[in-house]
Amino acid sequence: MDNEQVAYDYDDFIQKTGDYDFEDDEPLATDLIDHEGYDEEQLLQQQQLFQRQLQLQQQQAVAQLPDAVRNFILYFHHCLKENNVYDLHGCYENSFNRLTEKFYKNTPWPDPHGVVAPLVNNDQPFVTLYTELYYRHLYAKLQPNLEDRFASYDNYCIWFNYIFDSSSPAEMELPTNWAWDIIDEFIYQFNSFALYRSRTVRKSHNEEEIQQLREHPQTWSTYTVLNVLYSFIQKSRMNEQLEAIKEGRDPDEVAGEDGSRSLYKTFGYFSIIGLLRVHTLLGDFTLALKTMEGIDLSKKSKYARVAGAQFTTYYYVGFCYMMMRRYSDAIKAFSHILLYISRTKGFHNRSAQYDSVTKRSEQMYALLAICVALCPTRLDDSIHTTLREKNGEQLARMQRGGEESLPVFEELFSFSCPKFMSHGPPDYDNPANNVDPLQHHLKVFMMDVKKTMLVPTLRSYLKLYSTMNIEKLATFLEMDPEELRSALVVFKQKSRQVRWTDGSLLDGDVVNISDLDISLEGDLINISEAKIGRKFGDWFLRNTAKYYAVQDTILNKNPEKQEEKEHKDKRRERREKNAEKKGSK
Amino acid sequence: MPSSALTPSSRPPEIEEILTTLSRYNPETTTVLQEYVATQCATGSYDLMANLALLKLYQFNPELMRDETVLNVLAKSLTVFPQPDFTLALHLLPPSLLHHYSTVSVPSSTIPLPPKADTDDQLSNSVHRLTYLNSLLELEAFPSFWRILSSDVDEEYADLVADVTGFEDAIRKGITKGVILSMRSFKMETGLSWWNFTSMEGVEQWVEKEMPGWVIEGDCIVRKDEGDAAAAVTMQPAPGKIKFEQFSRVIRRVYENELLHH
Repeated sequence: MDNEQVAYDYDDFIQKTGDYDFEDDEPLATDLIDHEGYDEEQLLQQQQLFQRQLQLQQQQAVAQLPDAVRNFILYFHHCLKENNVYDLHGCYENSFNRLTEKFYKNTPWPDPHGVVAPLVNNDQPFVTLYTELYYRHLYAKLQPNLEDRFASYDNYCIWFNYIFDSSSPAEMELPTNWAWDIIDEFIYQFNSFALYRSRTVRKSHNEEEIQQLREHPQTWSTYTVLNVLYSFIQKSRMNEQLEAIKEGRDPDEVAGEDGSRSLYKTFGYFSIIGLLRVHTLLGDFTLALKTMEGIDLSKKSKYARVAGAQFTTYYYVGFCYMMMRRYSDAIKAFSHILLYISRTKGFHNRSAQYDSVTKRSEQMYALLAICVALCPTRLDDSIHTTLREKNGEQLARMQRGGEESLPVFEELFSFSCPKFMSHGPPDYDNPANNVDPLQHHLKVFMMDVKKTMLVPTLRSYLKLYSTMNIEKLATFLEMDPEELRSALVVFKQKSRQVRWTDGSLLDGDVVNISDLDISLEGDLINISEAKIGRKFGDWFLRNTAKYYAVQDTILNKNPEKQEEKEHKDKRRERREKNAEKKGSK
Repeated sequence: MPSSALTPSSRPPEIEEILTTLSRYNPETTTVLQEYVATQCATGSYDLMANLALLKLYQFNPELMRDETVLNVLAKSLTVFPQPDFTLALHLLPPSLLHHYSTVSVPSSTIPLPPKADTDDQLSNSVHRLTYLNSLLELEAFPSFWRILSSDVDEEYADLVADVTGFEDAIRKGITKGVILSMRSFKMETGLSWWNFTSMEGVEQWVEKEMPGWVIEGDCIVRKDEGDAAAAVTMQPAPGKIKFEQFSRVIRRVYENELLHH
């Protein structure tokens, strides 16, 4: 990439973001896509032939469309036109998934441009949104090829142009979780493209694809993605709004015309979480947390209802803390969200994202295990039980320390870290330079881990004594007394950690997080242990409740099931009522 | 991170402007941030956020990367050990730089041997060296650290930190922090080898200047005030109070059972 190209990138980025010059007709990023020169006449002929074939195919495809799908598309379109957020939510959350199960389990949904566009009179906003769904489904259920990846990117550009264009945003509203899914999927595909590209360059010898990738360095470029996210944040004045909320003022006072629209508000808020994720993927953990400055995790926000956004936020926040060696903050973040997941398990079971939630929570248990091994902490009882079930053996091995524990750290880290990516296009000419970013971050992380290898051993000895001589301990450990002195200082220093108390996520104070404290007096080690008494009352109450549950099982009456049944009945009633209402309309 | 580390008072307004706006992505600010690194090296100030922003610009625009500045950023971040700054900087470097890095550990010792230079890439080798120095610092293996730094065999170690004014004293201050945190008294000899002074006088002057509240008694350096290192067994009493509401389930249960039986 030459200098000029880069400057152009940034100029474009700053022009679009800094001044948000969205009013002119220039599209947001589609103009970055190269147009190749062909022989005009030949092109025309080919096009005509192609058009005719396409028309035939389309007619056939439209005719073959199952009635249920056709009706759904029409109704979906109708809801969007009417701005009926409630029913849009139903279409998006339920009908689409139901029809997917029925008709498109292993095949793509009907082609957006060939089949769906004619059905809805080429209504652009709808076709774009449908296309987004079409590709999201394709990514989830099938293998997208390079063409799909390019096309999906183009579609995002069209969609973002549409909503950034101040003349059009009209009063369009989308269900909140749909807005989240769009941001989430946009970053997922950006990430996926980067991995696909580096894999293609590293492993495959598909010259044609490599050539295509070389020719489109702007497609899915980091600048474009950052551009979109920052634009949303600035246009909605989300940081100013969050600031106002913190100070107890009305956010609409600072929101401006655009920022008070619910569409911008939601996209603005979720873009902040999007940035958290993008920065983490690129290895910039400090900036990732800094981006979250305005968001107060200890307060409930109205976006907290979008479960996916919650999981993502806490996963990345926890991960960044871990990488900054703020293990107690990381543990707090993971515990919080894992507890939330286990309490709301019933809901996720039914949702389409069930698999991804399960995977995410397994990753977070693994990360929690790493953090607990590096920073022994008393966990919430139910989290502790699940952690022992899932990663008990690994945790025990990590807690034992020493060389043997290293592969366990590596394994858990690789399993649970985000899919790290490099910023720019790979080095096409020297494939050897393209080192997998995961390996890089793993290596740096393991350097930290290796320095603490001796800590668990020291801990296990120190726990047994109240005073001890360095010489004596050195004999036990078969190491040099002077090295041990250093190791003890390391031990002491590891027990001090920056921990958040209030303010932004990066703030914090140095506190003692260990229950075992030492001080050196010449060659004498003074050891003290802070013992936290058990809460007997809680323990008895909890076990009484457990005993009741066992009793009920024996007597074969399960009050919880009963409750669930009542709940279901109520929901069915509500659904039927709604259906009636719709019918009478 | 205490907020003073996030926005050091020494940060000039123009840098603050870059860090808080989108100019942090502007390749043109690279030169400003580069000069700022040079200022930090010369004056002893330190600004993590600005340095990470510069590394990020390098990440986005690899052709702008200046090896010398990268190495200075790393050398600067050594001076604030055991904060994770060095590691945070490594994460932002091109993955190929550390690809060949590996240390050989010695059985029965916690201190690894220096990395082997098995790549031709000069920058990569230098990063390996600084990474090794960082490991020694974080393992508190100070005698080894000073030995490597002043080694005649490999003079590059000393060259790498030469740009950082007051590097040695900054490291000594870092060591002192660890000592104050974890010790009540220690031998003069330990001070001599950890701080790398040539004579006991150096140690005495250092204690007087940098360790208020500590005095030299015979061949020991002793804390006179009780600070962090004071260690006493603290037992937190078990909170014995239970709220009445917590019994709601038990009481309901008893009530329901009564109903069942009648």
